[in-house]
Amino acid sequence: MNPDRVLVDAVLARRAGAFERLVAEHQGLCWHIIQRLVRHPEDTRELCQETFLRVHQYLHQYRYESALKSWIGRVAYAVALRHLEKRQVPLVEVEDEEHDPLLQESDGFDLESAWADAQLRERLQAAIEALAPLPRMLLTLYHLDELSIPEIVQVSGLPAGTIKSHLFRSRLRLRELLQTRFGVSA
Amino acid sequence: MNTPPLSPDQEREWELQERALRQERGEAVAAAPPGYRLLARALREPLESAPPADFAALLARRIERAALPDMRWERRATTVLVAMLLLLAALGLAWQGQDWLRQLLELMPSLPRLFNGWALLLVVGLGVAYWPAPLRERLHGAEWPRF
Repeated sequence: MNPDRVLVDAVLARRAGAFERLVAEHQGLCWHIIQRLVRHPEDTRELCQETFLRVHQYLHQYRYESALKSWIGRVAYAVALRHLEKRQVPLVEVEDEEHDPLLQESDGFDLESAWADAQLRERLQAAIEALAPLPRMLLTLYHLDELSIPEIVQVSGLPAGTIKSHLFRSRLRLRELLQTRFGVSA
Repeated sequence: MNTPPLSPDQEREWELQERALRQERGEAVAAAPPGYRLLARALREPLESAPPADFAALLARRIERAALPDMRWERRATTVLVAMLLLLAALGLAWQGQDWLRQLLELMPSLPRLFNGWALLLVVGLGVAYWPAPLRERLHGAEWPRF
């Protein structure tokens, strides 16, 4: 039997520990979505709680048309989005279309020694943090949570082409930063 | 929020980015540019903040404390009672409706022109078009929660 169905049935039947198990299984993805969008730790915690309260409230409406994690991710995304809208935080930056050079492959770059450079890693993380909320979240879902583009479509409701474009441009921009600002010949 | 597809050059760059991602996941692929590999490695790093260790347990306890009694039985009982009420109203109308209507028309002589059938049809049509959303959801189902 589908493990999502077993868990959802258990929660709806109010079996002891079922909802705690649901939260424990999906809190990581929920946290990533909200944290990457809003960044503020206390807001992240509150919005994550709100997400699971809503999941509990509306779980009877879940129709198994998508994986449970995508459904919960969608709720988290909607909750965080509303929070950003209230604060009038833009999801994406207005991009300069001209500023999109493709990079050349380089020689003489030692990946392991660059990775061992704590300062460089710190600056790279800061550059990722400095991205606009939406591309920052998409990169985390794609790389860290290993969600596929179709799964991210289910979470965000964005077209696949838009997601791909955001991923492409963010990674290109970060690699360019490595070269230009951090002086790494990457 | 649709965006135009990537150009052929951009598609080639996309392939390099994807190759770096797969290489960092340990897949056997052709070597990717080290800059993208460094980036893919950084993007796989766990975030600095994470849910507290007792997050799930605390939330489950909060839900249990706030849990309302199971209202499913009450909702079914309400539905049955409303159906019975409507049925009784229909029977009452069939039994004595002619008298009520006649008395009403005597009170307001202009009503017959208004209720000539078409007005009633309009009211029924509007009722069907704008009947409550929760009832529609109950009948058709809803995949995503409303917020």
